[in-house]
Amino acid sequence: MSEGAIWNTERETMPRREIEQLQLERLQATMNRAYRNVRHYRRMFEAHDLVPEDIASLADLRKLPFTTKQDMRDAYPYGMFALPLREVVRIHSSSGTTGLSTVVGYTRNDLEDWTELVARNLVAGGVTKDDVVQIFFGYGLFSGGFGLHQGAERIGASVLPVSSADIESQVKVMQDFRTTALVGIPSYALQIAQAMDEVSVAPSSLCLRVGVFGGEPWSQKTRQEIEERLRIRATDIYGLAEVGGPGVSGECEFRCGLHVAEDHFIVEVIDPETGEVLPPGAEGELVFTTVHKEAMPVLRYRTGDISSIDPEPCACGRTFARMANVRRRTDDMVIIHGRNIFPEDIAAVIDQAPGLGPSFRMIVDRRGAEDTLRVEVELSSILSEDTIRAIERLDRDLEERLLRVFGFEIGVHITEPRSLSANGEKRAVVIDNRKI
Amino acid sequence: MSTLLRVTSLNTFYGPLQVLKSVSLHVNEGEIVALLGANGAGKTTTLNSICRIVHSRGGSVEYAGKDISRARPETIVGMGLTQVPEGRQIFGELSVRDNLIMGGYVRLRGGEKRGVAEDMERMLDMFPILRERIQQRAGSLSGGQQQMLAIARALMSRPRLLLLDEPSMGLAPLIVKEILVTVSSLRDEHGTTVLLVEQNAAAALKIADRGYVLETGRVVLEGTATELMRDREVRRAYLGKDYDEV
Repeated sequence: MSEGAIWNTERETMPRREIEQLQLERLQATMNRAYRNVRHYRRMFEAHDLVPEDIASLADLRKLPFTTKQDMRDAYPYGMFALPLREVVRIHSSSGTTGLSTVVGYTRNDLEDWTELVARNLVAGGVTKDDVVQIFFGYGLFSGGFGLHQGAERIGASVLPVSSADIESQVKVMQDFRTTALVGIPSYALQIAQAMDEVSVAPSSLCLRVGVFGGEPWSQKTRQEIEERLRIRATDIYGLAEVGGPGVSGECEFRCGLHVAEDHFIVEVIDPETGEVLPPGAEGELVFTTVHKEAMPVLRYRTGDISSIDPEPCACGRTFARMANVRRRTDDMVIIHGRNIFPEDIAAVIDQAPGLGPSFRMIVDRRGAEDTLRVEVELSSILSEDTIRAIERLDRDLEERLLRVFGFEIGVHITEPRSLSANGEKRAVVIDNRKI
Repeated sequence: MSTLLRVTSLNTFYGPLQVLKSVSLHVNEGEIVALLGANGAGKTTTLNSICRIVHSRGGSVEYAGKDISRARPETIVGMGLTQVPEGRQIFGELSVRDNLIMGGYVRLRGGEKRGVAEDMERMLDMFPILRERIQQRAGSLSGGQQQMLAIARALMSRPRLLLLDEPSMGLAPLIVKEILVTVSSLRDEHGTTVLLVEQNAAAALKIADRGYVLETGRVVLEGTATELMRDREVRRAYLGKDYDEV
């Protein structure tokens, strides 16, 4: 397998008409099982005076209401399962960055599907059976590590399940085991690059070739930086625990959006305010319906991720629609002084400021009637010169940059290098104290 | 692989009773697809709705790229879509030979006398037991032989897609196996595409590529034969195994 390889040609290059027929058949079967076995969905149908057979076409799907994170939380832990636990062979849970975690189960067939979907993403990202794949996603209840692990094994690569070990170990493994492919969270890849600089490990002394990254929104600039500093080609993958973990979509060699596994998911983009389904190309919130999950089918799940859909076939030969890279989320948006600010916006400013980042936190407080935004950002590396004055200078510099961009004062607090990015956490954390 | 049969959201009623509820399925050229389910799930009704023996409301049936939702049953047979009905329904009083000729009736009317005669020879080669009994009254054949005759009769119309309704019904396990081997070879050697209705899920999934499971008029599962075999619910409900065994 080489550049431009496709793991499952029969499926990934299906004509649009066949994709839609398969989606409809699978959607109807999924709804029938969800209606019969999951109280939440039965009530949802009944509340809207619907029965599953009312969904006679893909367009009818919009008759169904959305499933939300709150619905999942209300069903915690097993209320969304469509099968008894005896049928379930694996359980994962969402990372819980936005509150109580949600729980997802897999039957044997679900695991098989999941493995296949991740294998497709890895192959599309350029990973081959000859690669030595170092996975630094966490292995545990979080679905990232195990998900990518199974897929990498499926294509026959040599898999290093390093998981969320400390950076020094990651670098040592890369050197000693001659890692050729990195798989994990992009901000952590940047930290690895940083650590390599610090201990003077040149990327040319390693065997790295490609990287497949996901698990958090990342910018084009981050991609460029990863590619330059690690001398790899980096591709984006996407997934979320609620609909089964990684494997939902991934970029191909053309990197013009992520191909959604449309034989397993129906993707919609909606206006997050009105819930109205938006046409191709329009930006809005991603909504997924699983059409082949046995243990935990999910109908119209609102992801909170902002993207758009391009249904046109791609130059790579895949016919699956492409979703634009997710750069931000609806629930990470902070509305302050009448402005919508996404972590992505702050990240763009930090990326311009020398010596800071990548990880940071946005902290919103309400003092009396006034809302304030503060940014806590870590130093990129240990400073050698006069530390206090240097930090003050960086602090002032970032404050000025933020003021210029956003037009109001945003406080800056600089922390130790890697103090906010321990072991592969997300790059940006939003803490809105006004909600409490 | 191109889609030969595409069924979309069929709703079929017997009087006020809805027996099919938005049933969708497809069969690709050269596939054997199993339609599984308990008694009364709607399997036979699905076949009858496809062939327009019963009429459905809404939905569509597309065969070889043509919409046949409004076509007459005999037109559909002429297009190469033939059903082998449940319970064989051979002409018991007629000889084996006459039964086979009846199978070529649509073509005989079209003046293909020679072709029908050639096909009869082909059938007798394929089913040697029928050659032995060629003059015999069909009603005197054993159950398995009658099923063979029913399939051979259907093949006389040179179907591109064969709809087989419960070929294993009432037959001994060994005979069931023989019938299914025959179905398998129809596809492998003659390229006939098959939609197979079976209550005997274990037997059907052995030869099928994919399958659908119907339950009270709704499709509840869809997947490859391997996936369905692995599904514990299928194993329990349709393969006659208890939870402890699966």
